[in-house]
Amino acid sequence: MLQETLKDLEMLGAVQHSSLLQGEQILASTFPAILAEKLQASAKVIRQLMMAATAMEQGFQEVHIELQDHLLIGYPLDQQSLLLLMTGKEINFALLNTAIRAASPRLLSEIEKLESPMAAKEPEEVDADIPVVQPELVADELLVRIKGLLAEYVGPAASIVFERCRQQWLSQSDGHHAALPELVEMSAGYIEDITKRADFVQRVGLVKP
Amino acid sequence: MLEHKLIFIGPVGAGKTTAVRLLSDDNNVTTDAAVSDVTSRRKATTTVAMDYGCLLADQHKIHLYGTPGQARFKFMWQVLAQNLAHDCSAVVMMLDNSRNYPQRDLKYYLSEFNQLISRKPLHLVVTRSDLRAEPRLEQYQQWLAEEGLEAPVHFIDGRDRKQLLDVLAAALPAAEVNWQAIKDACSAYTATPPEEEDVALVSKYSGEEVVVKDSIIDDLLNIKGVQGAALANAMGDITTSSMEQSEWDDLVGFVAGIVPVFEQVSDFGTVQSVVLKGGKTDPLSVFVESDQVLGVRSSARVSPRILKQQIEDLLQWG
Repeated sequence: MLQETLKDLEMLGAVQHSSLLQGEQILASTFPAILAEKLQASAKVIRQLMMAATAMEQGFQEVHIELQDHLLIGYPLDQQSLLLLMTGKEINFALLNTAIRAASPRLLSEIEKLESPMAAKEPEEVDADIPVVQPELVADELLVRIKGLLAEYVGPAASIVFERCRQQWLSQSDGHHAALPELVEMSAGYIEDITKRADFVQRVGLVKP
Repeated sequence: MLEHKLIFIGPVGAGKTTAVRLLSDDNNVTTDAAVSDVTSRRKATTTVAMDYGCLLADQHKIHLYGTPGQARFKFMWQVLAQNLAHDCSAVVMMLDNSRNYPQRDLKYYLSEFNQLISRKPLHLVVTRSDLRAEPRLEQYQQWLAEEGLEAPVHFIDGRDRKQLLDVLAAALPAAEVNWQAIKDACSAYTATPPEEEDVALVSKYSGEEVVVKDSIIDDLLNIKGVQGAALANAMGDITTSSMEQSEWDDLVGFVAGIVPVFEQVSDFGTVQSVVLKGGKTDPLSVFVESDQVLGVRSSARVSPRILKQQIEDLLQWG
């Protein structure tokens, strides 16, 4: 249920990932599992920031951290629960804030259910998104070879283009082999000529990991 | 009739509108509006949607599109880059050499138009070098090389139609146009020397490391909706402040300290700004530079995005 609510938020344009944390525990998340630890640490810092603001009697309800290509937005739902969203920079805040206000009671109610003794025996949903065994990550060497191939089609700008694709790909996937076609597809999108694009994809397919 | 398209991108005041006007026959369309923000320090009007012009030369029709410089109108950047001019022959990026940090502008526009630039030839046009000679051409070539790009760099007087035509000829090598005939038809151009007042507004070039001057605190108070500002160093010590209550200074100092911690533990990259908002308290926006942070308390009605643009202009022109 928590997971569904988070996914609903992603139907709003520009919301890429979301996560609900209670204390340091991730209750539900659509972030790549590989980021779980970093997410917990980030939430801790955001909480400290909100606590500092509260101590100074400044009652803020949200914090926006602007990164190179994204925004990380934290909404404390109560003293323990924090909703974190990763969004694009071009987001409609009025739409987002209204959606968060509407979703908050539902999220809090679900958290309350999780805290009850009955729910404590059924934590499947809580951990469902964090696999115990991490999938094999794509080796840097392979990425360099793909970038080299891309350079043959788009020229010197390949390094910029590929880095941009890689960042986007990492933010959308776990960076593992199964997600590699998405990276290739994103990179291929920069090749204007359809025949050359297909050629690039075919040649990447021949590169052995 | 062979058709070509060129798109002009770059910051406010670099000369995009002037270029489209000077290069076009008498059918150009501009969408200038009077400026009401810090841009008024340098120019009276700014493009709010797009500039469009057309040049007929021999059997060629050259469509010229100019983007608005201000990021608040960036929705038009997408319209132009992904729609109207997605099939352009080249991208002409115009930079104002007299801005404080031209490399910052270069990186910003390369990033914003990266998809288009990855597919189309780029020409970098640097204007206003009569107001300040530095950075020089070699510097721009080096910055482009650092970005993995090879592009011709043209230092020109953006008010001279002949020099603009040279850029056009370089950007459209396949167009077999008798450029010389068009240039010969242009009236003689005599460069106007910069006025003392204009020169006085330009700071000496001292590299690309951003140094936020104390004077920005007073300048910020002239922006509608800004209630106070504080400048702190990387240690969180306030160096200048116009905040009414010291708690706000403390909070700005706290953010200065916690940003490096966040960057270290999150691995999400460099933080550019932190905005605290919501509730009954007015928002606090903290803009992060390499060794300084600038905290700005503003009315909830002021968009942090627009505030950021205003601060960027103050940094570039302050």
